[in-house]
Amino acid sequence: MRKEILQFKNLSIGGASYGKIEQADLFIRRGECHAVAARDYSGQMLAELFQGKTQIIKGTVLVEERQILQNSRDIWGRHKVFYIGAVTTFLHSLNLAENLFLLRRNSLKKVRLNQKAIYHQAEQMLLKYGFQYDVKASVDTLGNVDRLYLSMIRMAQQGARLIVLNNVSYNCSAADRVKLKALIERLKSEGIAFLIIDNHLDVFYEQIDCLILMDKGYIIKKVYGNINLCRESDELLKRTIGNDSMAYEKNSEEKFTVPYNYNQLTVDNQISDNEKNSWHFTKISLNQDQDFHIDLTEGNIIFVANSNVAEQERLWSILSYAEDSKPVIIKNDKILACRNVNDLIRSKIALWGTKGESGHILYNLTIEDNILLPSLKKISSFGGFYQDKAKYIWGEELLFQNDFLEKKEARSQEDILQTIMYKWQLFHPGVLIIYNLLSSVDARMRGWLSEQLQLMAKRGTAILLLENTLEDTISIADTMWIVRDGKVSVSFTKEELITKRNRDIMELL
Amino acid sequence: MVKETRSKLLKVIRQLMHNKINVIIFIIFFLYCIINGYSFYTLSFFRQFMLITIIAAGVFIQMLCGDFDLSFAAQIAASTVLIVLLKRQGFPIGVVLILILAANGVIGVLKGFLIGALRMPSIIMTLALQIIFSKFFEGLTNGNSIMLYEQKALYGNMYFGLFSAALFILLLLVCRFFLHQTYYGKYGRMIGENIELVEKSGLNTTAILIVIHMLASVYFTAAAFLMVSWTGSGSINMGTSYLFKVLAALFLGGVGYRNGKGELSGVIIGSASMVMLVFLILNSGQSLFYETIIEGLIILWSVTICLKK
Repeated sequence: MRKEILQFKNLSIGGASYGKIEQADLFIRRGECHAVAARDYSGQMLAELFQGKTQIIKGTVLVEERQILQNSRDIWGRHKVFYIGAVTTFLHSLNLAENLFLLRRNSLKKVRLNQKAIYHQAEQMLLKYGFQYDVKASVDTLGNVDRLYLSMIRMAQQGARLIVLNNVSYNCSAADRVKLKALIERLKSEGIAFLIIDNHLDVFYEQIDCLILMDKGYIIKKVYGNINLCRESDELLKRTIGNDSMAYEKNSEEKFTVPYNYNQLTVDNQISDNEKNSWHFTKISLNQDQDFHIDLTEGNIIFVANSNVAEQERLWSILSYAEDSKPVIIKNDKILACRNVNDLIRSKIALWGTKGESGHILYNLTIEDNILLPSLKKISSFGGFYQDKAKYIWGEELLFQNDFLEKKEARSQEDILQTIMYKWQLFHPGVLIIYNLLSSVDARMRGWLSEQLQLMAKRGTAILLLENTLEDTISIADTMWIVRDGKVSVSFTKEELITKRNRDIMELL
Repeated sequence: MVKETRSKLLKVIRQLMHNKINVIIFIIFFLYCIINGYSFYTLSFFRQFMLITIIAAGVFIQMLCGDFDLSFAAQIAASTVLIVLLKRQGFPIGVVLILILAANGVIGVLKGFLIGALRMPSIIMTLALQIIFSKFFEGLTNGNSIMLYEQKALYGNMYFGLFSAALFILLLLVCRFFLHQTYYGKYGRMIGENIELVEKSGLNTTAILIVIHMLASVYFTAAAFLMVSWTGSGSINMGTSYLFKVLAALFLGGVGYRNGKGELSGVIIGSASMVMLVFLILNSGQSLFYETIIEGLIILWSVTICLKK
């Protein structure tokens, strides 16, 4: 009989951004892998528990039969329960071996640092799990996936009992996912349990021992074993939630109402391709040998896929002006003088990524102010006299008439995504460059975002999608490029994307 | 062989370009000395260099972990007053030093606790401490210097000069050892780069900050001791002139403002540049006001370059 690592008894937690978890009963044994499938943000509510962001209202939490009374990341760490989120940060002032050994709970009684021992132990640790990294190298060159592996190894070395993985798969290419699954299996065999909260559970089906179905903060069902059952988790959710599912779906439609006037604001289809605005991004040095370039036309959606996640990250860094080498942008045969992100916004080129400032809102402003922010210049009158800005938004000419805007502040990730989407829709950029947005959200949000992006494209925005997932992205793209080693290796038109199956395209990646 | 030599040469050129302000100051200083026949290898030059470097090393250790200390000058000045007062009460010098070390240690603990546990911004906290120290001791001494009548100043004493040099080298070696050979040196840089991440990893950042600030206090005690020994007096005004000199020396040496970056070699180079600059101004007959103006300009210039990097 395997030992129980984690147990929830009638647990209710509150204070999370997304809502409450009620009456949760759960136990995870040594070496087991549990996964949370939810059609709403119930999984994220659970993830916040392990981040120390919630309060325990009722019930008990036991880790190896020791009760946890207060919820904080430090307390979880002391009980060897660790959390890894979508973005893993390492310290640039330390090299790889130092990041593995110093960024952990160490005794402060140790004073003298034995550098050689650290390097040797780091090498042994990496060899044990089959990874080959230069332990003395800087961590600047490591991609997010590499940091994910190293974090898991670091936690295993600290004697982890349970590792919680939250939304880690969207950053992984197909090859990375194979490595990740192998590492999970290896750590499971050493007795480490896993709790996986992810929007792409299909990646982990072979590792999952128990599937936890959640809805509106309740654990509805637990499904053990049987991979086939796990594969149909979405169907399972629909069947399990039952008649409520129709009401739930209806409610979700109302929540994500398409702006009532938006459909009417479309690009005149009579404009020929020659008359449409075009953008040419050139001198993008992904590869030392050659320059990469991207051509965008008004109203087009281009999907750029790359199995090399580091290269994709680099492309995003270059386009978002985070690197020293900046692309040259030509609009309608005229070079745009863009030295920084502010110049990009002035040139009506918007960025939306999952990392950094472009993926966030300003929390000390209301939702309304966040939506207005990049467009404020165009709305406020000259001479510095501000009129009532609200009338421009809520009036007939403009876009929004739903109850989302009655919320004063964005509490959940869903609110943040909606705010940013409405912000860009109001701003109406010429180009919108998106990085890993659709890959990082659940199916429901992905569907809504895809719809909104299509509406923006109809209105004339050229959209560039840098994504790791094919779902939904292929269905909205007009063109797809597969990039390898800094150049386009395969390209598909809209008609070809309709006829090709996802599996065929995955193979090409 | 040629390639290796070439790459080494390129490395040296890169270092020189990285320290171009310092190189310019060095060149101007040495040219001035040659043209005017001024010999810089005087005791006063080396004394100033040792003093500024010791104080800068203490402040550097604090800046590595992201703390900007504005109270060090007042702390050193207050220490000189306390040394003289205790000596005049008849305490032996060894006991006096231990007591001052303990007092500065307590201040270091206070700083570490306020910054680490209570998350006080270091600039504001140390500014408040600076005001408290300077006004308290100004009140105590009426703003006057207190002389050590029974002890002649060790200003020109050769043996004390050698002792000072040995103390200086020892403190630099300790600093180097701390930064490169101890966990706390690494932890300090980690905290300077990202304190939230270090906390999430499970390290006790408050305890680490307390240790680091206590170590910095050792350097301030040493500087106060040397000041009293050379001047034979203690005064609350003694340390104030070193505030901007030390900060300018640190920024000239490329110490990163609140990001965990910087090396001890940079501190030494920056201190040397600062001393040369002061000597240039003094010996060219310019008013001392220009010195402070130039220090301010250097701080602005160096911080701008640091932030750009």
